[in-house]
Amino acid sequence: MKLNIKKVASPVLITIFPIVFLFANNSKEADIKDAIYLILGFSFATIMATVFLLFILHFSIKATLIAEIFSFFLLNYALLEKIIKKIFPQLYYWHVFPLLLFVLFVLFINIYRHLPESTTESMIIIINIACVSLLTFNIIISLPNIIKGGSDNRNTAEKITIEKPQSNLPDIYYFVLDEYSNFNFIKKYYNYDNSVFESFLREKHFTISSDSYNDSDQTLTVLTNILNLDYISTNATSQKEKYDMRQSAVLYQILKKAGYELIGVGKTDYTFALTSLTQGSKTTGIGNVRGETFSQIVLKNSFLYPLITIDHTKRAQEVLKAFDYFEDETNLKQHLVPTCTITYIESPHEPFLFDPDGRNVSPGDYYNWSDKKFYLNQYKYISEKMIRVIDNIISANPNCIIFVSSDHSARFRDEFEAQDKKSPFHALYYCGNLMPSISGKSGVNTWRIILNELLNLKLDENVEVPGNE
Amino acid sequence: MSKFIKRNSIIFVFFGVLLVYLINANSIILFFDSSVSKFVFVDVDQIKSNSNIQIAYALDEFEISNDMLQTVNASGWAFCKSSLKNPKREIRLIFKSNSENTPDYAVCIPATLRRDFLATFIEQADNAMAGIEAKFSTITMKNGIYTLYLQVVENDTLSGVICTDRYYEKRNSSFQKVRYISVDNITQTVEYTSDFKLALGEQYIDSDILKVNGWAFLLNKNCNQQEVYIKFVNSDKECTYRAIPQSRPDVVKAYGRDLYELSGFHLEIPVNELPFIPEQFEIIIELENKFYTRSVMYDIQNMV
Repeated sequence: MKLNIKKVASPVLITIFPIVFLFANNSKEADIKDAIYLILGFSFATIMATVFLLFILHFSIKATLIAEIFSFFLLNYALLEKIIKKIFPQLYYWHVFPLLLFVLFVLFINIYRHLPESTTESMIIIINIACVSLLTFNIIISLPNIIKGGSDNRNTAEKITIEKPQSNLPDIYYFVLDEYSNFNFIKKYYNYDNSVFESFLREKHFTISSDSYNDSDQTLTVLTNILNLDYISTNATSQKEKYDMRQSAVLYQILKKAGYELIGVGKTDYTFALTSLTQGSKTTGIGNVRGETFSQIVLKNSFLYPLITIDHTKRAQEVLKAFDYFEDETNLKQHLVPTCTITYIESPHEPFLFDPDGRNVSPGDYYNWSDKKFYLNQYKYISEKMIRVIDNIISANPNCIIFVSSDHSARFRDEFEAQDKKSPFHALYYCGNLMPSISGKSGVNTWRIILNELLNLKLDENVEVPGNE
Repeated sequence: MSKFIKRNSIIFVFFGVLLVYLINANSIILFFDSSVSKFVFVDVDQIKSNSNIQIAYALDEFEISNDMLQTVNASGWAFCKSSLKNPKREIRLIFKSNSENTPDYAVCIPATLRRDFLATFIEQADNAMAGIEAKFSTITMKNGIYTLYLQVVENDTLSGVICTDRYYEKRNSSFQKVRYISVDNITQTVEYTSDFKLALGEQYIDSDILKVNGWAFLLNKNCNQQEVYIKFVNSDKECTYRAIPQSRPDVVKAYGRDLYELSGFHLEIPVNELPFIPEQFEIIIELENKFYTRSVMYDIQNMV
């Protein structure tokens, strides 16, 4: 018996299959680099373990079968545990894992002692054929998205020319509060009267829209289109493409041409493709709604799932740091060079980390949509914080533009109608003057109104909002 | 047979070790985490009988984590209303089981320094160690509903205990605060009495929640010893819940009697956990194993 590539390579197919499967089904959202790193890492570990087993079992082909079964077990352990806990709900990880290890141990001993070599080889061949077929199928379905790659700046915004940077332009403060519901929505579904915030805004001469609609209830689709002042992406557009579109956003081009400097505050690295002043580390990777990256999702299915935790403290700190930026007056006084400060705050979007007074919420309720109070409490907290932020800005720099908005309203209860979910919050302050109505205007059109007023452009302010999903 | 055992001796040995491990696994896991306080078994009835002093306390809402050890963080403060100075105070969070088949558990922690407590209770300057900072795991708790008691032990002879009127349920891998307790329908005789005083606050049902609250007491009877039940009916269907007591200092002030401090009651039940949508309800008080009513059915406001 000797070591050959077939004996070592077979278990690798089992190892990489869940990664390829997950990637293939999420190729529009996931980054191929994450998948490749995982594949390489897991393959290396599998090869080492298989070689070790082969040495112990005198290079018997049975070592390969054992390695395959063990790989499958480790990578899909979380699912197996779920099944066992349905029958024995009082068991924990530290019961189930050793128990299953023992069962496997007995199985492996019996394989080694009793299973004929020929049967073992046949089983391995069958497993390999199944794996290769499934891998091939999954790779084929994800190929178009991998090859497509990034965008070639396919935005179709109108040609906009600005002759030269203009003088005496006001600073702009653009806020996006993720999942902040407009006043009508919060009244309709949460029976909450946000008139304190509404009255405050009106006293400060804000123009408010409670009947606007965006094209989608997906943050990155909405933001990509707003930044490009047109509906150039949809929910079907890949995340990579959308990111490229945001990087080369038309809004940024216009503002820079006009002489504006762009500043990011809060989680703007990925969402706005703008380096943030308040985040310690750059946001990498794409996450799902809960902020889980592709790697975390893969590992959550494996025996390593107890180690996969989302750092909620960090998420809370991100929100607080963004608000803290507006406590420093030096950041708020009129800038020598006109500045557009873009702030993205991932709240009141889940996780629900704050009660109305900013105190901790019990971790078990971070994603609790069933009890309305958790979203509503975080919503109240953000409203309070925004009152203070707006007050600070206007006190330091009354001749500025403040556009407080959200991408969409709350989303994760069955009772919310689809069209209502797409309705954002919009409130606009324009140097203390009342703007023409922005009522009913989408994010794209509201920005067109602002730019027309600010830079004397002639953009169409009534671009139709696509109703696609 | 002996050949079989000999041949597979290693499996039997591992199986034996595994069995011993599985039986003690929870305790073994907790042993390795020194930051988590361990439960001790106690007898609440005995503690109550030995308790000889009133306590003052404030307890924040537990922070119940979703982590592997089901850790719970508790904070607050508590002290015995005594003239002792600088006692080596120990505070115990006691979970009294609602079932006779499950034990009562306690977490024992030394009191810590709470500077905010000192600012409020200046007279307690010599007894500043009144803080509660506890972190414990519920994985070793048996399934069941538990009532939370708080005991403050000032020394070997002086201690006080109080029921916090908070209820928690341990069910397999979850541990959560109980907002309502379903009980069997009351089959004993429920007496009408004109001594039954009651006022209702909220009494409605919307798409999410059924809420009933208010205050109720029997004239000249101590509310500390009463239980308030709410019987919900719809046509021929009925179900009964035990309401959670609440402190009502306004009632004490209005009637001038400390007896009515715990006359408040409240009940919140998610609509999807109700056996049926009730239309009316009745308030029943149990005192000294007897049941009393006003014999009045109240309508539930339907906000749906």
